Amino acid sequence: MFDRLKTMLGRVDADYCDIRYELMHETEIGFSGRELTLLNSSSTDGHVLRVLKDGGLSAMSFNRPEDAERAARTAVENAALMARRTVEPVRFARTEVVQETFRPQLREDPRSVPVDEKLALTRKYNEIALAHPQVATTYFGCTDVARERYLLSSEGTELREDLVTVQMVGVVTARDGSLTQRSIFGFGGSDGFHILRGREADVEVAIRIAVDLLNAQPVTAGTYRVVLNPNLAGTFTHEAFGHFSEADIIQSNSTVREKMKLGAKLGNDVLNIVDDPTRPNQLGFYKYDDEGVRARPVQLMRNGVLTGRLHSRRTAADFGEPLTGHCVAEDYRYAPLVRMGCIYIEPGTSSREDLLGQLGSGLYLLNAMGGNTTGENFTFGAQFGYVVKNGKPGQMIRDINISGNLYNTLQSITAVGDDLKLREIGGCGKMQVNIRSCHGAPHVLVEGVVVGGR
Amino acid sequence: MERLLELAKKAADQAGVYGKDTVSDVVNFENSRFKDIVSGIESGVSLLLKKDGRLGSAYTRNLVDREKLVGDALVSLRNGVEAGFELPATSGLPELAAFDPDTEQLTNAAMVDECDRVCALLADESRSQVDVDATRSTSTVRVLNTMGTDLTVHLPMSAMCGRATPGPASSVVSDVGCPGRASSVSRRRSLISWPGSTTRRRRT
Repeated sequence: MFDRLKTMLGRVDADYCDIRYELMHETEIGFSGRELTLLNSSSTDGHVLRVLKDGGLSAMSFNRPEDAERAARTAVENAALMARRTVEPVRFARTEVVQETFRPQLREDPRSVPVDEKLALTRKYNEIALAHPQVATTYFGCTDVARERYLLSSEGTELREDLVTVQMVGVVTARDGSLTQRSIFGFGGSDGFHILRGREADVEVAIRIAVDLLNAQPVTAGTYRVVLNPNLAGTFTHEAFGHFSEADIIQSNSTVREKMKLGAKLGNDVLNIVDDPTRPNQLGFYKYDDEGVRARPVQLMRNGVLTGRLHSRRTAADFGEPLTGHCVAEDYRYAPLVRMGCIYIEPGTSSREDLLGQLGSGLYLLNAMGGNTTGENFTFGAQFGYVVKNGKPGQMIRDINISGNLYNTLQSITAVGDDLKLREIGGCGKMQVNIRSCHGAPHVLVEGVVVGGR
Repeated sequence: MERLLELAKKAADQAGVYGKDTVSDVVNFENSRFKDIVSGIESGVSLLLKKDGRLGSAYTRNLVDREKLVGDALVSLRNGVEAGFELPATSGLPELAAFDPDTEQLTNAAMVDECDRVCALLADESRSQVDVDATRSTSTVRVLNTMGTDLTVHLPMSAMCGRATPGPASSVVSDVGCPGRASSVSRRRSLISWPGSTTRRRRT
């Protein structure tokens, strides 16, 4: 394979170039209610060529090897065009040249699990939900993706790494007369198919949530002290804070770049945030990014002070900061861009019960469900919650939206639990969909959260 | 594609092949500065099989191993999404030139010029951070099946997307997804103008 890629790179006249080839195997299964609506098992492949010449950068994707010459010509022409027209020549930070084959340890490679077995497992979970008398309908989807990735650079890097992802997502809809309520959940990971097995309890929890929501009360709007569960706190960390830690997002925005200066005190003293793709047995695991840079843990915030940022080779050079190995592509169709790998709030010392006790009266909100971030401001939905009195969760509530300002909220997180939990399914869609984007948090206590509702 | 259909026909009651070839160029300007050019020469073929009232499907980017593609579709068919329909026999459709032929003459240099012009215009009028993308693509789609359908359509497209972000706000707009849904940090908000665009013209 590398010989073929070397021949392709040999056609490129540039200061730097790299080529990534991926062979991708994918199985998708979907049930809507009792009906099997999707069943697909395919293998496909493609290349992405990047060229840096005289400060101009271009990327070119192509599938067929016979298009390699045309792709090389076009990429060089595009880079030359940019070089002539840009006022800010692109530079790449220096990185170590590596030659390595890395295959992650998998507990059950999904490529060797028969489609029939994947189908039977998905059907089984679906049937569990459909058997409940108050469940009106369901959606269950099972996906596994195996990317066999080869990267070759003009600097001499030769990498082969496999990226294997499995996930099961479910939507359970319960009904009582004209009232319907949904519970959305998922599980999966990047260390093998085993993680999809034996998850009946997760399905049962989802059913119970959907059914219980039929008796929940719409939340009363107001400003509350709240405890967020790991799912919701992790989503806040990813969406509201994490994207501002991606150097390419703020690169051209002088206002945010000024606010996000390393050393700025942005959060409460209790807040420590890390992005660590190298953490084993989690969804976002990888060893090298799609530029061939070795991934490393990055302490983004320590005791509320901004201490790090996520980089590509381009942004690391621009910011004058160290490489982190966070330049990742969705697959063989795309050039890489700066992405979070596995971002999370580091655990503190309080148990969930301690946090609820500290809360006293307020709301306990669980599981993210939709939302958006616009600039510094965010609005997220929560799937459900509970009114807390004297530290005890009571009445279940629904129809919950929380909103706030990123910087104010970072200051308002006043206590952090000891129960870090990472999400098992991804789906960050910054330009491309990253199904391996992992995030998490322990329970956290937040002051003065605006909650929309009745 | 014909050889694939011949092979598929032997394995199923009905078969259809969908092929698409696309050549594309995207020029990105961020904060009125030329950021990069991303291009693609991409192809894809998908196969649909119908047998005993069940559907099977598979796709690939490189149509090299036709037998494997048919095999993948048969695996999918064996477990069976129900097919309550027949593949269509469509022929004699009038040819519609539903595109502006100028699009195919558009060069990347011209797109860079236009991005520059629009950035300057918007930045001047809005005193904002301005991000602009220009896209040009040409796709050829072919559909053929065992019922006699053999249709080809040529689809050039060009577009420009831009956004002005006034005041001190950041340029980040993102949507949070539910499990299994994509979330996004999107820069594409409003179509501004593009000479030769079939989607919307507004010369400024």
